[in-house]
Amino acid sequence: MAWRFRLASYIIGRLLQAIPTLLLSSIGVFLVLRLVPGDPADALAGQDATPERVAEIRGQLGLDEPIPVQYLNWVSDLAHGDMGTSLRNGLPVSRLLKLSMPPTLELAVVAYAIALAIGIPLGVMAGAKPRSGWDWALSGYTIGTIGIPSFLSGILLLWLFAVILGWFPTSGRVAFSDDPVSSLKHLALPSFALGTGLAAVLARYTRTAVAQVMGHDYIRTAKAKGLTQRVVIMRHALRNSLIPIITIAALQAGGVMAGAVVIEQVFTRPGMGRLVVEAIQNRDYMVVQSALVVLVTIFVLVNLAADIAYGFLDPRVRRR
Amino acid sequence: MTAPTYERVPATTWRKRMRQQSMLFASFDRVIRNPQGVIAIAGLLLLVALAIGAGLVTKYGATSQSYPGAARFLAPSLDHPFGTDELRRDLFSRTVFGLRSSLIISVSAVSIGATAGISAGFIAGYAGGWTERIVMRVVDSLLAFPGLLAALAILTILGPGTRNVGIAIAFFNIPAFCRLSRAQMLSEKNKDYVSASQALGAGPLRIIFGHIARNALPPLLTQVSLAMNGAVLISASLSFLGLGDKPPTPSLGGLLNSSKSNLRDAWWYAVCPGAVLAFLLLCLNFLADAVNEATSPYSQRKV
Repeated sequence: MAWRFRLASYIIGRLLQAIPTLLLSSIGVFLVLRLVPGDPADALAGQDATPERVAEIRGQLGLDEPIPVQYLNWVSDLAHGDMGTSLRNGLPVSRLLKLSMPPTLELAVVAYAIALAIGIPLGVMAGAKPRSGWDWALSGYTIGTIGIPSFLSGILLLWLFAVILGWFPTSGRVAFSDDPVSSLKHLALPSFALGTGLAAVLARYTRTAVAQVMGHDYIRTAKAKGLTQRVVIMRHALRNSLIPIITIAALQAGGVMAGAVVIEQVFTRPGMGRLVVEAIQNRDYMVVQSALVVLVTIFVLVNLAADIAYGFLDPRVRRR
Repeated sequence: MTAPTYERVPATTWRKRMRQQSMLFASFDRVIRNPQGVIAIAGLLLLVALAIGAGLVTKYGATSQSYPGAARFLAPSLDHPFGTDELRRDLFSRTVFGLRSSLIISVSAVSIGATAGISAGFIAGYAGGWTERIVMRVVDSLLAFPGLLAALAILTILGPGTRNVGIAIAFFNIPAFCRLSRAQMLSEKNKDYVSASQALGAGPLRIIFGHIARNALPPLLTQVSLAMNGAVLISASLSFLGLGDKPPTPSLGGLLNSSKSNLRDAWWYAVCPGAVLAFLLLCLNFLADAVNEATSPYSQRKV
């Protein structure tokens, strides 16, 4: 009973800690957009607008108020679900995001799953037996992928599997609920391009974490009492190296989101990538600001989930 | 492989002396004794030479569409090592000039970002108190999101363009350098030599940049090569997204973007510029690994 109580209080503590983190990252987004010299009103008014016109636009956007007031206004609107309207087409930003998020999220989730499915087993096998065939395979895999950004591997996959072999469609996206097979076919190449690159990073960290644990005395004990290599790795080594692995996996969530934004352009998928790139070309900072907050929030939540997972995995963590 | 045996190398008197006197030289010396480091430095020298001599090694202009024998989608040949594109331009010229602009953006952005970040980190670490707390809170909130997203945010306000891509990359390099240099400062500032120069009446700026920086900088070199890697990657991604150079100016990312719609007619369009970009990134990664091994006091040679 006592450990359950400790676990619950650990989780509640972590959830409370996420609030300042989220506020901090919203300040981060806000600061980046405000600290940089340049005035959205100038850009919006066009090149030969009169100073009066620029001032009027500043007034409409609330840009003439002090920065802390602007921030508070923005956050309180956000808390009420109001993300403002696009400066270009006047549509509510929340609606634009609702339309563009599902394609990006499904891409990110599948790519992430591919990264985990390749990266963790490869890293564990390589770390459990340094200088074995698996270790060399990992080195080869890392060297082969490290120089290739995901959009480049995306183009090469597109060329080979869609243009030459014709196995997969070259562009677009189909909702899973409309046509599952076609949806997966559209998803396969982009998520593979994104996932294989991330897998290399994940595998390297997993290898280090497992190799470190394998040097401990209790591993020798486990081997000495006659456990098979498989049981030693699964029950003793992996469990104790999971915390660094989960940490790096959660940090990679940011890379997945950013990568998805770029990969979408390779495969001409509608999604947040297109939304953000178009918004940047139009200097539509209302859209970019909210899109970034959404991406950063997802990132913070994934890391929060990792923090909570520590509590389940490691009794020492929840005692603190 | 055994640990490098410095003593056996002939004619090392000046080398030994340099190693003892300058941590920077000692690090460099260890980098060029590492196979990865040699590959990285040789590869980077080659690429930099190509970029600097871009006008000399190319036969055709990067944007020239009319020259004797011009045709669309010529396959790679001696005349056009990388083939030609949909507008009859020579892809080798375009790639080399794209490489040049990519290197210029990355080197200048990392230099600016590193200088600003390291100065802020040193000053925050040395000063302590509220200065440190405020600087570090700002840095933490900027570190919360991945570099590419930060760059996108900055481009929203500045608008697309090469110069602005450079500014965006410089800006998002500041937090990482700031954090690392502050940590370096914290581990150096209580050492005896610092107290000695304080006792001799040296001012804080002189102590920070004249004395501490000499010892605190080499470990930051790893971050410099990592940052170069990130800068090349992000500038290529941004120009791929169409937020960098405006056509017809060539850029590595821009070439890959336009190759995408011509994959059916010209495989070399994507493969050749892509190979150059991948080779550049591979060399920078190797360099980061080699520098890390050379400057980290705990690292041993990986077997």
